[in-house]
Amino acid sequence: MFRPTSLPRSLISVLVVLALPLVTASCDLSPTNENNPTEDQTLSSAEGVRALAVGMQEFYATDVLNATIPRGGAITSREIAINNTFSNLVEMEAGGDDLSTSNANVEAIWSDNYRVVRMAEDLIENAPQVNLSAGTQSGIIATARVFKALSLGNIALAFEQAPTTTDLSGSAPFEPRQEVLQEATTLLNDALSTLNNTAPSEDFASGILSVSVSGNASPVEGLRNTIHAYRARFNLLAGNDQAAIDAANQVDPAVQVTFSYNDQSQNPYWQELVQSGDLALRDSLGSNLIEPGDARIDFFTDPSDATSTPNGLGIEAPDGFFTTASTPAPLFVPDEMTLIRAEAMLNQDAPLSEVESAIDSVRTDLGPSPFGIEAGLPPYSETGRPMTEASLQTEILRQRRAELYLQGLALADSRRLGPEVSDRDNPSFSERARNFYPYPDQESRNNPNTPENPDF
Amino acid sequence: MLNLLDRYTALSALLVGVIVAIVGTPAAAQTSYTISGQVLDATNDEPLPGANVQIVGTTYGTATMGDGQFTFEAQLEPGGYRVRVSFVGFETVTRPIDLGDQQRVTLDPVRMNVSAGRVEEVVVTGQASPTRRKELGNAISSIEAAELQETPKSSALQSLQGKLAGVRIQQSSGDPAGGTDIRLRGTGTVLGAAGPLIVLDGVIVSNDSPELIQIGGTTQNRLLDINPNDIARIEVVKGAAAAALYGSRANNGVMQIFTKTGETGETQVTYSTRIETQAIRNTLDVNMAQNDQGQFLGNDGSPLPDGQRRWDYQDFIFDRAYGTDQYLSVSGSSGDTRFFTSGGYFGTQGIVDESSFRRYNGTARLEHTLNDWVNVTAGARYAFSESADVPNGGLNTLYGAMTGFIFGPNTTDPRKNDLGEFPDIGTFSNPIEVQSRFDFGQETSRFIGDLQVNMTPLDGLSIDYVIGLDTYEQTGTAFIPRGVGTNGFETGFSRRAELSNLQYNSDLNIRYETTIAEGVRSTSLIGGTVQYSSQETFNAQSQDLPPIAETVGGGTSSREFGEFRSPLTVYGVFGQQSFGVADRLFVTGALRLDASSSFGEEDRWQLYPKVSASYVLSEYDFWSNALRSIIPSFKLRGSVGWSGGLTSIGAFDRFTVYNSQPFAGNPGLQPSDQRGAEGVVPERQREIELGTDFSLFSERVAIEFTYYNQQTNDLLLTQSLAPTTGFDTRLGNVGTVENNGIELRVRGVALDRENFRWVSTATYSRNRNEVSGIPGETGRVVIPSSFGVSVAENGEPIGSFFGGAFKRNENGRVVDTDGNVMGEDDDGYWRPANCTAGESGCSGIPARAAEDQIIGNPQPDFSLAWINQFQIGDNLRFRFQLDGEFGQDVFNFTRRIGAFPPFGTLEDYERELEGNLPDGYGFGVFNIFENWIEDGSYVKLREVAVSYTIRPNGLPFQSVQFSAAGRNLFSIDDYSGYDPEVNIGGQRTGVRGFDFVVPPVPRTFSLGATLTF
Repeated sequence: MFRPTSLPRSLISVLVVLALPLVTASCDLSPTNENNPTEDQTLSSAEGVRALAVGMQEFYATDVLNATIPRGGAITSREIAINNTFSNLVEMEAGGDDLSTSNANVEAIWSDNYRVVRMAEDLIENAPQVNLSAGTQSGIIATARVFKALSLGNIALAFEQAPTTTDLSGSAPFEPRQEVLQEATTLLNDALSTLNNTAPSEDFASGILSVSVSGNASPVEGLRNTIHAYRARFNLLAGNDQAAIDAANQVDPAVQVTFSYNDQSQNPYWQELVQSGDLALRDSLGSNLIEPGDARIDFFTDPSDATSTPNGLGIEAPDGFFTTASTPAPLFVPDEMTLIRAEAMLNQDAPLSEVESAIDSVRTDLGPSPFGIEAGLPPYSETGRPMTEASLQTEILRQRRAELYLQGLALADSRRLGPEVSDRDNPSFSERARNFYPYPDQESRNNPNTPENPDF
Repeated sequence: MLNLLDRYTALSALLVGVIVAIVGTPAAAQTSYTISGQVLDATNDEPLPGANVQIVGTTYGTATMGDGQFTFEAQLEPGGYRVRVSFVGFETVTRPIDLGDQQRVTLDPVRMNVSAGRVEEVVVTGQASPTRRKELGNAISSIEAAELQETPKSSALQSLQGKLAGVRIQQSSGDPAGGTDIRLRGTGTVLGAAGPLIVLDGVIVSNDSPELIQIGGTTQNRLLDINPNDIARIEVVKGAAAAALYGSRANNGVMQIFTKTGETGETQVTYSTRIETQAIRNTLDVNMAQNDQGQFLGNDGSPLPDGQRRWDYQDFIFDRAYGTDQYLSVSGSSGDTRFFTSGGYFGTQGIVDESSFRRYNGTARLEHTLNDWVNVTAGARYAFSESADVPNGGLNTLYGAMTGFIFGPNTTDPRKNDLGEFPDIGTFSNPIEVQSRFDFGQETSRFIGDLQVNMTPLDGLSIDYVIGLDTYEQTGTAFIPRGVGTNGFETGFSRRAELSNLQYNSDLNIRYETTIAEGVRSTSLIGGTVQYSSQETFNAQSQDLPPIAETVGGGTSSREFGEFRSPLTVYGVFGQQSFGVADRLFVTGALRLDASSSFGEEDRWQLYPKVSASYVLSEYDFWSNALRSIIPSFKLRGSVGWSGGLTSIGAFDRFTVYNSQPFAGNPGLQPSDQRGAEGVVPERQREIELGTDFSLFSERVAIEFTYYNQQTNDLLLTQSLAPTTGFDTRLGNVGTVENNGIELRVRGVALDRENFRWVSTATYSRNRNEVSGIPGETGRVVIPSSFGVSVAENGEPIGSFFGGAFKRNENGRVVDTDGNVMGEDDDGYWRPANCTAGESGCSGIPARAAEDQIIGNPQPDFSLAWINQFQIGDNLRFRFQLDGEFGQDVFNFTRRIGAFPPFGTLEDYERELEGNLPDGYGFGVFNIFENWIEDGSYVKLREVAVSYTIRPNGLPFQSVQFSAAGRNLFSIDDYSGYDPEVNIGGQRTGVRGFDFVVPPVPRTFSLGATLTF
């Protein structure tokens, strides 16, 4: 049977109609990524740079704090007990030689902080290239410098040597930790001058800067206060006592700065202490220096008879800044400034009574004080402890241990103000488990500049 | 290099040109002929139904009916033609035919001789046009419907198991919709999918295994949507040497599926029905420890409180399962239109109680001959399936029936108590609670359509155009009600995940065949293809559900949702030139140029060449008659080809991407920790293949032998970066993987008597896989989702097991923790050779080596299969298949957990409690992973089928065939777990041979009947 020619013609038109859209629709060999912006798109646009500035703060407030404090230094300094048998946690609590160079917690302290450094460097480099108002640009660059400084500070508190910048080639040079701290203070000074040279815009304050500030203070005042507080902190640790005192004096204790959390960006302490329960707060804040009547124990913990797994240490239920996924956490507590002044004065051989009075203002604090951290202890003179330099130094350590609980400083404080610890085989559960962490395998395998690991 | 627009214009111009050619060419004067005849088996003069009859060089032809008769119409110019009659297992017969004034032509009966050889068989895969095997420079495996459809199985892939040399098919679990993994000649990638490109009637179809919900190792692979009853034939090419024409998608080989089509002649109605039943083959020995007083012992060694005992939870988990398969097909022709249509229903329970799978299929295929040079075909196929899944757990989730069982402890009656509540059994979930209260399931709705135009406007010139479309929506839902005993899910859990997959291909092939000199034939081919695919996923989940409601929206905590869109475009053009000299030397060369949107502009265009030759020595005069009587045909073949791998890299993996992360109410972005790698290139495989095909004893025995060497360079791996780069990882072209192997297939007609015929086929294949070039001190990459156990390491096969090993002394003997030499007893436990375990200084507990090491290899040394078919009289047929793999290791993670004292669910710990093993043995060996590596060698009775056909007179149907079949009836192995073939990794590339409480492949029986009207 032969068909009329109109049939093939119509069939063919159908074919063409079917074929052409398929061919045209599929021509894109460089399809747009609708899921995520790429690096080029982010760093070459104003909105991308703005969003990265927000993302950097978030990453610091959640992942970095989580890795650096509860899962990192707080275990090593004995503020926190592990409460699970994962080998990475067991190694952290054992410390000493048992802490392997492939430990995931140590790796996270290192890599999370350098991710912030990278984001900050990208912002500092690209913010001037995109179309931002001068005030917004200044705010972004200042914020980037602040967070880079905070991350470098975290690194300098945990490792003997470290790079001060990231390096895409994978061979970043290492500097001694004092140099890293120096770089952090320089970054903070630069951040301050940036803010002083060009006042940050309202747009920056409300749409980019993501810290919460107490009372009627503006977010930018909060940022300035943070800069001064961390300048004081890092200068003290770097041995610049006068600079530390000067910076501490510039901190307005009435302006409190916190990170706010919610379901998407959860409180990093709560994640470990409550949500996963892998970690727990220790009895007496994990130190035998703490006096039994110290009201700060009750501020940070709720009493409990429980003991930890697997090491059977006494543990308490979390309170303070750790109770829910959305509990805000401070970037610093104001009495740190008082203790910084006390320590710097002690270092400068100031009269011991001046040091004592600074310490007493913390000891006898009955409130109301910022955040409600109040010791409620009798003055130093009533403890019967001698008025010696060594004894006051220990007293500063005692007060820092309670006042600055889980601020990420306990390991550095214990090294600086506490007894020598170098028992590589069996550090006890009341003294720090390491002085400095080993460099993570992932760094030493890929970066030829990685130095030898410290012994302890 | 052409830019995009130019290419598009060129393609459109080509298309328009073709259309003009079609419309413009006048039709030649033709006559309508009716050709008929009969085809008989030469041995016994019995009719041969189903034989293929075709006029060579045209599309006219048909298949023989039940009585061996055939009739078809052809519109042809008068002249001399040849009729070719072919049928699997018989020598092809070609008859000259003269078409003149007589419009009705009847051929003399065609008698066909049994043959084991298949040199005249025509294949198309990898050739782009039908080619006789004789001319091929590579091995192509093919299999016909008759060999696939006799035994029960849910998926077409399962039926291929053991049937083809060099094709490794593993059913990862006994789930009724459980996934099946296919590997051709070993694994050639680490990050990508290792399964072949699958083409169904010209349509590139997806065989992905989406993991939308966590059910643990029983992931469905989407070839499940194809009804095995619709398949007519499958061809498989296994590597670059044969598959270069498929370019950047061919690294893992190509599998082409042809479905049934309508034939000219009377309408054929076939109805088949089958019922089947499945049961677990063997269960694990559980801990039933008792003291001398007959009291059951708890895991701490003290007697359980009165009234408590130990239980075998497997008694509650597994149950006999029943299922049915119904299939109706109607095919035939009307005028110049041939049609095939079918509908099917397959439904079965799983051996894990409360699991089930159902599938509905519908197919229509129309073929229309416009005139003697244009044929149009359209196909549409729809499938809907739904599964009720019981989560097993797996490595990432705490909920699961089988993980609940293995973590135990098995000291609580798991059944509902008087209050109607399921007791909390201890570590994870109560298996019966999971089975009865958890509601997990998947639904898939899929359409596959194709439209093809085949034209032969001039003698020797043919133009084929195909548009294929494959689209499916798969939805997975998971619901855990409030109040379950599973830790972390007490407030309930709900998840819904959806995947929309769309892919199409548009292919144009133009072929020209001519004789360029006396005895020299030339075939030229040029073609182009545009392929596009889009995968979009959406998922949402939440916890803290209100009572009764099951949907995600009700949950008020841990709310998460995600969406991802992934497009892929591939362009390809290719040319191929073949020469055939005197029907004995055939040489083919081909080039494919190809671009993929997954790679950066600089690197996306890749060229893939191939060269092959076939040399038929037996066609030469020097092949004397004496030689010919022993070796009637002898052919040497060889080929080399290159191809690419696309699947290792996602659509946007070459970029550093930023993820959304708002903070304090402001929109935010954070860079991913994987650094972009704009310069990566596709993995590239080079394959060399050499082989010979020959037959013996008047074609009674045919032997095919192939050696191959595959080398995949520029292997894509995730490299670790120094964290001071600000990143964690980066993709890089760093490694090489090599596959070396041989394949042997021997097919013989063992007996051929008037009333008894026995045909036997044996295959042997071996493959050696080795990774090299992984940088870094260890030269090792851990494969994700493998518990850190499966690795790719230089000098070792992909997926090798890595972990804790036995400590050995200087003589290589295993020692205990006190340094005493140990020996492995027949029961598989290690005992001190020279002292008594438990005595002072003789712990009897194996010690662990200081360094972890490679401890096993999940790839077999070789595999064997033996298939036998018997025809007894006219009506009775019988077949069975034995196949086995030898030398592969299985990591028995199941037993590791069950033997660990805190869980203590298996008989291993019973021995420790009852004193047969020293205290602490279970703790001691827990992290010596080498202790849990077992030999997985097996031989299985894969298939047994018997069928009897009757052709009654006076009833409304032509014939009815009754069949009884069994699958996986028994296994000969030394493996202590359920089954050495299961794998928690499902269809994952690098995670193989990992046994962690996956439902084992069951034993299946079926009874069926097929009626032909």
